Amino acid sequence: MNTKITTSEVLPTLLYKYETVISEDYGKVFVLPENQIMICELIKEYVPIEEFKEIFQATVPMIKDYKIKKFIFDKQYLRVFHQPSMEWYFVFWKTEIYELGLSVHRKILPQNQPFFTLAVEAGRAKILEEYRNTVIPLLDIQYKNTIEEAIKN
Amino acid sequence: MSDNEHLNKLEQEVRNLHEQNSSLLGMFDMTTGYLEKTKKNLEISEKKLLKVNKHLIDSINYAKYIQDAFVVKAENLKKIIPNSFVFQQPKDIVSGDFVWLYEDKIKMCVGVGDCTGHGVPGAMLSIFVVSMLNQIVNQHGQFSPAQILLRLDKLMGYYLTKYDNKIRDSVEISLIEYHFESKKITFSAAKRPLALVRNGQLTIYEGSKVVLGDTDRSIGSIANQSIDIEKGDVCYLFSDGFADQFGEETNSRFTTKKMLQLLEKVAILPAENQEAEIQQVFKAWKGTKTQTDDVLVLGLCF
Repeated sequence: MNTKITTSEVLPTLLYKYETVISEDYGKVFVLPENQIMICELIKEYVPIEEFKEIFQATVPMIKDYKIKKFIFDKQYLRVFHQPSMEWYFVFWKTEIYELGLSVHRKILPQNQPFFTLAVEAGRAKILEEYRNTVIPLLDIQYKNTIEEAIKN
Repeated sequence: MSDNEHLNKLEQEVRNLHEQNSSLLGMFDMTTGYLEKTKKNLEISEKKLLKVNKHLIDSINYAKYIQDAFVVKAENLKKIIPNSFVFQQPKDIVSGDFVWLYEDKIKMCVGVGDCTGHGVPGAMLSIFVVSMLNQIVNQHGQFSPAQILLRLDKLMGYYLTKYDNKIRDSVEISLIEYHFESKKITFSAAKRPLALVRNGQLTIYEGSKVVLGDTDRSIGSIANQSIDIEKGDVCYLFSDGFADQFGEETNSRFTTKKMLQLLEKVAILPAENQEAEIQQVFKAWKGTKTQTDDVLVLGLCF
Protein backbone atom coordinates (compact mmCIF):
# COMPACT_ATOMS: atom_id res chain seq x y z
CA MET A 1 0.00 0.00 0.00
CA ASN A 2 1.32 3.43 -0.94
CA THR A 3 1.50 5.52 2.21
CA LYS A 4 2.84 8.61 0.44
CA ILE A 5 -0.03 10.99 0.05
CA THR A 6 1.01 14.64 0.33
CA THR A 7 2.49 16.67 -2.49
CA SER A 8 6.02 16.76 -0.97
CA GLU A 9 5.99 12.97 -0.73
CA VAL A 10 4.29 12.14 -4.00
CA LEU A 11 5.64 14.70 -6.48
CA PRO A 12 9.24 13.34 -6.58
CA THR A 13 7.85 9.88 -7.42
CA LEU A 14 5.92 11.13 -10.45
CA LEU A 15 7.31 11.76 -13.91
CA TYR A 16 6.35 15.43 -14.06
CA LYS A 17 9.05 18.11 -14.20
CA TYR A 18 8.53 20.48 -11.29
CA GLU A 19 10.10 23.40 -9.50
CA THR A 20 9.77 24.33 -5.85
CA VAL A 21 9.07 28.04 -6.03
CA ILE A 22 8.21 28.74 -2.39
CA SER A 23 9.42 26.84 0.65
CA GLU A 24 8.40 28.04 4.09
CA ASP A 25 8.12 26.11 7.35
CA TYR A 26 4.31 26.23 7.03
CA GLY A 27 3.87 25.65 3.32
CA LYS A 28 5.38 24.97 -0.09
CA VAL A 29 4.47 25.94 -3.62
CA PHE A 30 5.40 23.84 -6.64
CA VAL A 31 5.08 24.61 -10.32
CA LEU A 32 4.80 22.07 -13.13
CA PRO A 33 5.84 24.43 -15.96
CA GLU A 34 5.09 22.08 -18.83
CA ASN A 35 1.62 21.43 -17.47
CA GLN A 36 0.96 25.03 -16.38
CA ILE A 37 -0.04 23.73 -12.97
CA MET A 38 0.72 25.21 -9.55
CA ILE A 39 0.38 23.23 -6.33
CA CYS A 40 0.19 24.85 -2.92
CA GLU A 41 0.74 22.51 0.00
CA LEU A 42 0.27 23.68 3.57
CA ILE A 43 2.43 21.53 5.82
CA LYS A 44 1.15 22.40 9.28
CA GLU A 45 -2.03 21.45 11.14
CA TYR A 46 -2.89 25.13 11.30
CA VAL A 47 -1.61 28.15 9.36
CA PRO A 48 -2.28 31.59 10.89
CA ILE A 49 -3.90 34.22 8.70
CA GLU A 50 -0.75 36.33 8.16
CA GLU A 51 1.21 33.35 6.85
CA PHE A 52 -1.79 32.05 4.89
CA LYS A 53 -2.17 35.40 3.12
CA GLU A 54 1.60 35.71 2.65
CA ILE A 55 1.99 32.45 0.75
CA PHE A 56 -1.10 32.97 -1.41
CA GLN A 57 -0.18 36.58 -2.26
CA ALA A 58 3.28 35.36 -3.22
CA THR A 59 1.76 33.00 -5.77
CA VAL A 60 0.06 35.79 -7.77
CA PRO A 61 3.10 37.08 -9.77
CA MET A 62 4.24 33.49 -10.39
CA ILE A 63 0.80 32.52 -11.71
CA LYS A 64 1.21 35.35 -14.18
CA ASP A 65 4.82 34.47 -15.09
CA TYR A 66 4.26 30.73 -15.52
CA LYS A 67 0.88 31.25 -17.23
CA ILE A 68 -0.69 28.84 -14.75
CA LYS A 69 -3.98 27.29 -15.87
CA LYS A 70 -4.71 24.99 -12.93
CA PHE A 71 -4.22 25.55 -9.19
CA ILE A 72 -4.13 22.62 -6.77
CA PHE A 73 -4.56 23.31 -3.07
CA ASP A 74 -3.30 20.39 -0.96
CA LYS A 75 -4.85 20.70 2.51
CA GLN A 76 -3.99 17.20 3.69
CA TYR A 77 -1.83 18.36 6.64
CA LEU A 78 -4.46 20.81 7.87
CA ARG A 79 -6.67 19.93 10.81
CA VAL A 80 -7.97 23.40 11.59
CA PHE A 81 -8.77 26.28 9.25
CA HIS A 82 -9.54 29.92 9.88
CA GLN A 83 -12.82 30.81 8.23
CA PRO A 84 -11.95 34.50 7.62
CA SER A 85 -8.75 33.30 5.87
CA MET A 86 -10.84 31.02 3.69
CA GLU A 87 -13.22 33.87 2.89
CA TRP A 88 -10.27 36.05 1.86
CA TYR A 89 -8.88 33.17 -0.24
CA PHE A 90 -12.25 32.54 -1.90
CA VAL A 91 -13.41 36.10 -2.46
CA PHE A 92 -10.25 38.17 -3.00
CA TRP A 93 -7.42 35.85 -4.00
CA LYS A 94 -9.53 33.78 -6.41
CA THR A 95 -10.92 36.93 -8.04
CA GLU A 96 -7.42 38.30 -8.50
CA ILE A 97 -6.12 35.17 -10.18
CA TYR A 98 -9.35 34.74 -12.17
CA GLU A 99 -8.50 38.06 -13.78
CA LEU A 100 -5.14 36.49 -14.73
CA GLY A 101 -7.02 33.72 -16.56
CA LEU A 102 -6.89 31.00 -13.88
CA SER A 103 -10.29 29.45 -13.22
CA VAL A 104 -9.49 25.74 -12.67
CA HIS A 105 -9.10 24.75 -9.02
CA ARG A 106 -8.51 21.32 -7.58
CA LYS A 107 -8.50 20.65 -3.86
CA ILE A 108 -7.40 17.74 -1.74
CA LEU A 109 -8.85 17.45 1.76
CA PRO A 110 -7.29 15.53 4.69
CA GLN A 111 -8.07 11.83 4.55
CA ASN A 112 -10.29 10.26 7.24
CA GLN A 113 -11.14 13.63 8.82
CA PRO A 114 -14.97 13.75 8.61
CA PHE A 115 -15.29 16.78 10.89
CA PHE A 116 -12.84 18.74 8.75
CA THR A 117 -14.70 17.74 5.56
CA LEU A 118 -18.03 18.76 7.08
CA ALA A 119 -16.57 22.06 8.30
CA VAL A 120 -15.28 22.76 4.76
CA GLU A 121 -18.80 22.13 3.44
CA ALA A 122 -20.23 24.46 6.10
CA GLY A 123 -17.63 27.12 5.31
CA ARG A 124 -18.26 26.88 1.60
CA ALA A 125 -22.05 27.18 2.13
CA LYS A 126 -21.47 30.28 4.30
CA ILE A 127 -19.28 31.91 1.64
CA LEU A 128 -21.74 31.14 -1.16
CA GLU A 129 -24.55 32.65 0.90
CA GLU A 130 -22.69 35.77 2.01
CA TYR A 131 -20.81 36.55 -1.19
CA ARG A 132 -23.28 36.12 -3.98
CA ASN A 133 -21.75 38.46 -6.55
CA THR A 134 -18.31 36.90 -6.88
CA VAL A 135 -16.47 34.91 -9.54
CA ILE A 136 -17.06 31.65 -7.60
CA PRO A 137 -19.89 30.41 -9.87
CA LEU A 138 -17.59 30.95 -12.87
CA LEU A 139 -14.83 28.71 -11.49
CA ASP A 140 -14.24 25.02 -12.14
CA ILE A 141 -13.69 23.77 -8.59
CA GLN A 142 -13.38 20.04 -7.89
CA TYR A 143 -12.29 17.99 -4.92
CA LYS A 144 -9.89 15.12 -5.65
CA ASN A 145 -8.54 12.30 -3.54
CA THR A 146 -4.91 12.27 -4.69
CA ILE A 147 -2.29 14.60 -6.18
CA GLU A 148 -2.06 12.45 -9.30
CA GLU A 149 -5.82 12.63 -9.81
CA ALA A 150 -5.79 16.39 -9.27
CA ILE A 151 -2.99 16.84 -11.83
CA LYS A 152 -4.62 14.62 -14.45
CA ASN A 153 -8.25 15.72 -14.13
CA MET B 1 19.16 33.52 19.94
CA SER B 2 18.93 36.17 22.67
CA ASP B 3 16.49 35.87 25.57
CA ASN B 4 14.45 38.64 24.05
CA GLU B 5 14.22 36.89 20.68
CA HIS B 6 13.41 33.64 22.42
CA LEU B 7 10.66 35.35 24.39
CA ASN B 8 9.27 36.97 21.22
CA LYS B 9 9.20 33.60 19.51
CA LEU B 10 7.41 32.00 22.43
CA GLU B 11 4.89 34.84 22.51
CA GLN B 12 4.27 34.38 18.79
CA GLU B 13 3.73 30.64 19.29
CA VAL B 14 1.25 31.33 22.08
CA ARG B 15 -0.60 33.82 19.83
CA ASN B 16 -0.70 31.25 17.06
CA LEU B 17 -2.02 28.61 19.45
CA HIS B 18 -4.69 31.05 20.63
CA GLU B 19 -5.66 31.71 17.02
CA GLN B 20 -5.69 27.99 16.24
CA ASN B 21 -7.90 27.33 19.26
CA SER B 22 -10.18 30.21 18.39
CA SER B 23 -10.35 28.96 14.75
CA LEU B 24 -11.21 25.45 15.92
CA LEU B 25 -14.05 26.84 18.06
CA GLY B 26 -15.14 28.92 15.05
CA MET B 27 -15.15 25.80 12.85
CA PHE B 28 -17.19 23.97 15.47
CA ASP B 29 -19.76 26.79 15.83
CA MET B 30 -20.01 27.25 12.06
CA THR B 31 -20.46 23.50 11.44
CA THR B 32 -23.02 23.16 14.25
CA GLY B 33 -24.95 26.12 12.82
CA TYR B 34 -24.76 24.60 9.35
CA LEU B 35 -26.06 21.25 10.60
CA GLU B 36 -28.88 22.93 12.52
CA LYS B 37 -29.84 24.92 9.44
CA THR B 38 -29.67 21.76 7.29
CA LYS B 39 -31.84 19.93 9.85
CA LYS B 40 -34.40 22.78 9.80
CA ASN B 41 -34.43 22.74 5.99
CA LEU B 42 -34.95 18.97 6.04
CA GLU B 43 -37.83 19.38 8.49
CA ILE B 44 -39.42 21.99 6.21
CA SER B 45 -38.91 19.65 3.21
CA GLU B 46 -40.41 16.75 5.18
CA LYS B 47 -43.49 18.84 6.03
CA LYS B 48 -43.86 19.82 2.37
CA LEU B 49 -43.46 16.19 1.27
CA LEU B 50 -46.05 15.02 3.81
CA LYS B 51 -48.44 17.68 2.56
CA VAL B 52 -47.87 16.71 -1.09
CA ASN B 53 -48.18 13.03 -0.17
CA LYS B 54 -51.48 13.66 1.62
CA HIS B 55 -52.75 15.61 -1.37
CA LEU B 56 -51.75 12.75 -3.70
CA ILE B 57 -53.31 10.06 -1.49
CA ASP B 58 -56.53 12.10 -1.19
CA SER B 59 -56.54 12.52 -4.94
CA ILE B 60 -55.97 8.80 -5.59
CA ASN B 61 -58.62 7.86 -3.02
CA TYR B 62 -61.07 10.03 -4.89
CA ALA B 63 -59.92 8.45 -8.15
CA LYS B 64 -60.77 5.07 -6.60
CA TYR B 65 -64.23 6.37 -5.75
CA ILE B 66 -64.65 7.28 -9.44
CA GLN B 67 -63.19 3.96 -10.64
CA ASP B 68 -65.58 2.07 -8.31
CA ALA B 69 -68.49 3.70 -10.15
CA PHE B 70 -67.30 2.11 -13.41
CA VAL B 71 -66.30 -1.39 -12.39
CA VAL B 72 -68.50 -4.24 -11.24
CA LYS B 73 -68.48 -5.47 -7.67
CA ALA B 74 -68.96 -9.06 -6.50
CA GLU B 75 -72.46 -8.23 -5.23
CA ASN B 76 -73.61 -7.31 -8.75
CA LEU B 77 -72.39 -10.64 -10.08
CA LYS B 78 -73.93 -12.58 -7.18
CA LYS B 79 -77.35 -11.22 -8.09
CA ILE B 80 -77.06 -13.11 -11.39
CA ILE B 81 -74.91 -16.10 -10.39
CA PRO B 82 -75.35 -16.41 -6.60
CA ASN B 83 -72.60 -19.01 -6.28
CA SER B 84 -69.83 -16.76 -7.57
CA PHE B 85 -66.96 -14.79 -6.12
CA VAL B 86 -64.48 -12.08 -6.99
CA PHE B 87 -61.12 -12.09 -5.23
CA GLN B 88 -59.55 -8.72 -5.96
CA GLN B 89 -56.38 -7.40 -4.42
CA PRO B 90 -55.07 -4.21 -6.05
CA LYS B 91 -51.34 -3.54 -5.75
CA ASP B 92 -52.08 0.13 -5.07
CA ILE B 93 -55.22 2.04 -4.10
CA VAL B 94 -56.61 1.93 -7.61
CA SER B 95 -56.28 -1.04 -9.93
CA GLY B 96 -55.65 -1.89 -13.57
CA ASP B 97 -57.63 -5.14 -13.14
CA PHE B 98 -61.40 -4.96 -13.40
CA VAL B 99 -64.60 -6.94 -13.77
CA TRP B 100 -67.06 -5.91 -16.45
CA LEU B 101 -70.64 -7.13 -16.62
CA TYR B 102 -73.54 -6.83 -19.03
CA GLU B 103 -76.91 -8.48 -18.60
CA ASP B 104 -80.21 -8.66 -20.43
CA LYS B 105 -83.20 -10.99 -20.23
CA ILE B 106 -81.61 -13.91 -22.08
CA LYS B 107 -77.90 -13.72 -21.31
CA MET B 108 -75.14 -12.16 -19.34
CA CYS B 109 -71.66 -11.25 -20.44
CA VAL B 110 -68.89 -11.06 -17.85
CA GLY B 111 -65.28 -10.14 -18.40
CA VAL B 112 -62.05 -9.85 -16.47
CA GLY B 113 -59.62 -7.24 -17.76
CA ASP B 114 -55.99 -6.66 -16.91
CA CYS B 115 -54.69 -3.31 -18.13
CA THR B 116 -50.92 -3.04 -18.55
CA GLY B 117 -49.26 -1.53 -15.55
CA HIS B 118 -50.99 -0.83 -12.29
CA GLY B 119 -51.85 2.13 -10.07
CA VAL B 120 -53.19 5.33 -11.61
CA PRO B 121 -52.19 4.65 -15.27
CA GLY B 122 -53.73 1.14 -15.11
CA ALA B 123 -56.88 2.52 -13.48
CA MET B 124 -57.27 5.28 -16.10
CA LEU B 125 -56.95 2.71 -18.87
CA SER B 126 -59.43 0.40 -17.12
CA ILE B 127 -62.03 3.20 -16.99
CA PHE B 128 -61.47 3.84 -20.69
CA VAL B 129 -61.85 0.11 -21.55
CA VAL B 130 -64.97 -0.30 -19.40
CA SER B 131 -66.50 2.79 -21.06
CA MET B 132 -65.73 1.36 -24.49
CA LEU B 133 -67.23 -2.04 -23.56
CA ASN B 134 -70.40 -0.33 -22.27
CA GLN B 135 -70.61 1.76 -25.43
CA ILE B 136 -70.26 -1.34 -27.64
CA VAL B 137 -72.97 -3.41 -25.92
CA ASN B 138 -75.33 -0.49 -25.52
CA GLN B 139 -75.11 0.26 -29.24
CA HIS B 140 -74.96 -3.34 -30.44
CA GLY B 141 -76.40 -5.59 -27.71
CA GLN B 142 -76.40 -8.65 -29.96
CA PHE B 143 -72.64 -8.85 -30.30
CA SER B 144 -70.91 -12.09 -29.32
CA PRO B 145 -67.78 -11.92 -27.09
CA ALA B 146 -65.50 -12.14 -30.16
CA GLN B 147 -67.43 -9.34 -31.89
CA ILE B 148 -67.22 -7.21 -28.74
CA LEU B 149 -63.44 -7.72 -28.62
CA LEU B 150 -63.02 -6.99 -32.32
CA ARG B 151 -64.95 -3.76 -31.85
CA LEU B 152 -62.89 -2.94 -28.73
CA ASP B 153 -59.71 -3.62 -30.71
CA LYS B 154 -60.75 -1.06 -33.33
CA LEU B 155 -61.81 1.55 -30.78
CA MET B 156 -58.60 1.18 -28.79
CA GLY B 157 -56.53 1.40 -31.95
CA TYR B 158 -58.40 4.55 -32.91
CA TYR B 159 -58.47 6.41 -29.58
CA LEU B 160 -55.05 5.48 -28.26
CA THR B 161 -53.34 6.75 -31.43
CA LYS B 162 -55.77 9.49 -32.32
CA TYR B 163 -53.48 12.40 -31.52
CA ASP B 164 -50.35 10.86 -33.02
CA ASN B 165 -49.18 9.91 -29.55
CA LYS B 166 -48.76 6.15 -29.82
CA ILE B 167 -49.63 4.57 -26.49
CA ARG B 168 -48.17 1.07 -26.21
CA ASP B 169 -50.52 0.12 -23.37
CA SER B 170 -53.30 -2.36 -23.87
CA VAL B 171 -55.64 -4.65 -22.00
CA GLU B 172 -55.64 -8.43 -21.69
CA ILE B 173 -59.21 -9.52 -21.32
CA SER B 174 -61.35 -12.63 -21.21
CA LEU B 175 -65.08 -12.52 -21.85
CA ILE B 176 -67.77 -15.13 -21.43
CA GLU B 177 -71.37 -14.88 -22.53
CA TYR B 178 -73.76 -17.14 -20.64
CA HIS B 179 -77.19 -17.97 -22.04
CA PHE B 180 -79.55 -18.56 -19.12
CA GLU B 181 -81.83 -20.94 -21.01
CA SER B 182 -79.43 -22.98 -23.14
CA LYS B 183 -76.76 -23.06 -20.38
CA LYS B 184 -74.24 -22.45 -23.10
CA ILE B 185 -71.11 -20.38 -22.72
CA THR B 186 -69.38 -18.49 -25.48
CA PHE B 187 -65.82 -17.57 -24.60
CA SER B 188 -63.43 -15.20 -26.34
CA ALA B 189 -60.30 -13.50 -25.08
CA ALA B 190 -57.22 -11.47 -25.83
CA LYS B 191 -54.19 -13.03 -24.17
CA ARG B 192 -56.08 -14.49 -21.19
CA PRO B 193 -57.46 -18.01 -20.74
CA LEU B 194 -60.63 -19.52 -19.29
CA ALA B 195 -60.20 -22.31 -16.74
CA LEU B 196 -63.08 -24.76 -16.40
CA VAL B 197 -63.24 -27.45 -13.73
CA ARG B 198 -65.71 -30.27 -14.38
CA ASN B 199 -65.88 -33.25 -12.04
CA GLY B 200 -62.49 -32.32 -10.62
CA GLN B 201 -60.85 -32.17 -14.05
CA LEU B 202 -59.34 -28.93 -15.26
CA THR B 203 -59.66 -27.78 -18.88
CA ILE B 204 -57.95 -24.66 -20.20
CA TYR B 205 -59.45 -22.68 -23.07
CA GLU B 206 -56.73 -20.42 -24.44
CA GLY B 207 -57.59 -16.92 -25.60
CA SER B 208 -56.25 -15.34 -28.79
CA LYS B 209 -52.79 -13.77 -28.95
CA VAL B 210 -54.21 -10.48 -30.14
CA VAL B 211 -52.90 -7.30 -28.46
CA LEU B 212 -55.97 -5.09 -28.46
CA GLY B 213 -55.42 -1.78 -30.21
CA ASP B 214 -52.07 -2.80 -31.68
CA THR B 215 -52.20 -4.78 -34.91
CA ASP B 216 -48.38 -4.73 -35.24
CA ARG B 217 -47.96 -6.83 -32.10
CA SER B 218 -50.97 -9.09 -32.62
CA ILE B 219 -50.76 -12.73 -33.67
CA GLY B 220 -53.75 -14.64 -35.06
CA SER B 221 -57.31 -13.49 -34.72
CA ILE B 222 -60.09 -13.25 -32.19
CA ALA B 223 -62.64 -16.11 -32.25
CA ASN B 224 -65.46 -17.53 -30.15
CA GLN B 225 -65.33 -20.92 -28.40
CA SER B 226 -68.59 -22.58 -27.32
CA ILE B 227 -68.90 -24.69 -24.22
CA ASP B 228 -72.02 -26.51 -22.97
CA ILE B 229 -72.17 -25.96 -19.25
CA GLU B 230 -73.13 -28.81 -16.93
CA LYS B 231 -74.35 -28.53 -13.38
CA GLY B 232 -71.38 -28.34 -11.03
CA ASP B 233 -69.04 -26.78 -13.58
CA VAL B 234 -66.85 -23.99 -12.27
CA CYS B 235 -65.41 -21.33 -14.59
CA TYR B 236 -62.52 -19.06 -13.66
CA LEU B 237 -61.35 -15.83 -15.27
CA PHE B 238 -58.23 -14.22 -13.82
CA SER B 239 -55.48 -11.68 -14.37
CA ASP B 240 -51.81 -12.68 -14.28
CA GLY B 241 -51.16 -10.96 -10.94
CA PHE B 242 -51.48 -14.07 -8.75
CA ALA B 243 -49.25 -16.24 -10.97
CA ASP B 244 -46.62 -13.48 -11.18
CA GLN B 245 -46.46 -12.87 -7.44
CA PHE B 246 -43.04 -13.50 -5.88
CA GLY B 247 -43.05 -15.67 -2.76
CA GLU B 248 -41.35 -14.72 0.48
CA GLU B 249 -39.71 -18.09 1.01
CA THR B 250 -38.59 -18.97 -2.53
CA ASN B 251 -38.24 -15.52 -4.13
CA SER B 252 -39.76 -17.05 -7.26
CA ARG B 253 -43.08 -16.48 -9.01
CA PHE B 254 -46.16 -18.47 -7.99
CA THR B 255 -46.57 -19.55 -11.67
CA THR B 256 -49.66 -20.22 -13.76
CA LYS B 257 -49.20 -23.97 -13.26
CA LYS B 258 -49.58 -23.71 -9.46
CA MET B 259 -52.41 -21.26 -9.90
CA LEU B 260 -54.36 -23.74 -12.05
CA GLN B 261 -53.63 -26.56 -9.58
CA LEU B 262 -55.05 -24.35 -6.83
CA LEU B 263 -58.22 -23.65 -8.83
CA GLU B 264 -58.64 -27.37 -9.57
CA LYS B 265 -58.31 -28.10 -5.85
CA VAL B 266 -60.74 -25.45 -4.56
CA ALA B 267 -63.41 -25.98 -7.25
CA ILE B 268 -65.36 -28.44 -5.09
CA LEU B 269 -65.88 -25.82 -2.36
CA PRO B 270 -68.77 -23.33 -2.17
CA ALA B 271 -67.86 -20.02 -3.84
CA GLU B 272 -67.24 -18.05 -0.66
CA ASN B 273 -64.94 -20.79 0.70
CA GLN B 274 -63.06 -20.83 -2.60
CA GLU B 275 -62.45 -17.11 -2.30
CA ALA B 276 -61.25 -17.48 1.29
CA GLU B 277 -58.92 -20.34 0.34
CA ILE B 278 -57.47 -18.43 -2.65
CA GLN B 279 -56.97 -15.36 -0.48
CA GLN B 280 -55.26 -17.40 2.22
CA VAL B 281 -52.90 -19.10 -0.26
CA PHE B 282 -52.00 -15.74 -1.82
CA LYS B 283 -51.33 -14.16 1.56
CA ALA B 284 -49.19 -17.09 2.72
CA TRP B 285 -47.21 -17.18 -0.54
CA LYS B 286 -46.54 -13.43 -0.63
CA GLY B 287 -45.64 -13.15 3.05
CA THR B 288 -43.72 -9.92 3.54
CA LYS B 289 -42.85 -9.56 -0.16
CA THR B 290 -44.11 -6.49 -2.00
CA GLN B 291 -47.13 -7.21 -4.16
CA THR B 292 -45.96 -7.56 -7.77
CA ASP B 293 -49.13 -6.59 -9.63
CA ASP B 294 -52.88 -6.24 -9.25
CA VAL B 295 -54.61 -9.56 -8.57
CA LEU B 296 -58.09 -10.59 -9.68
CA VAL B 297 -59.70 -14.04 -9.74
CA LEU B 298 -63.36 -14.44 -10.67
CA GLY B 299 -65.16 -17.74 -10.13
CA LEU B 300 -68.59 -18.78 -11.43
CA CYS B 301 -70.06 -21.97 -9.99
CA PHE B 302 -72.94 -23.29 -12.12
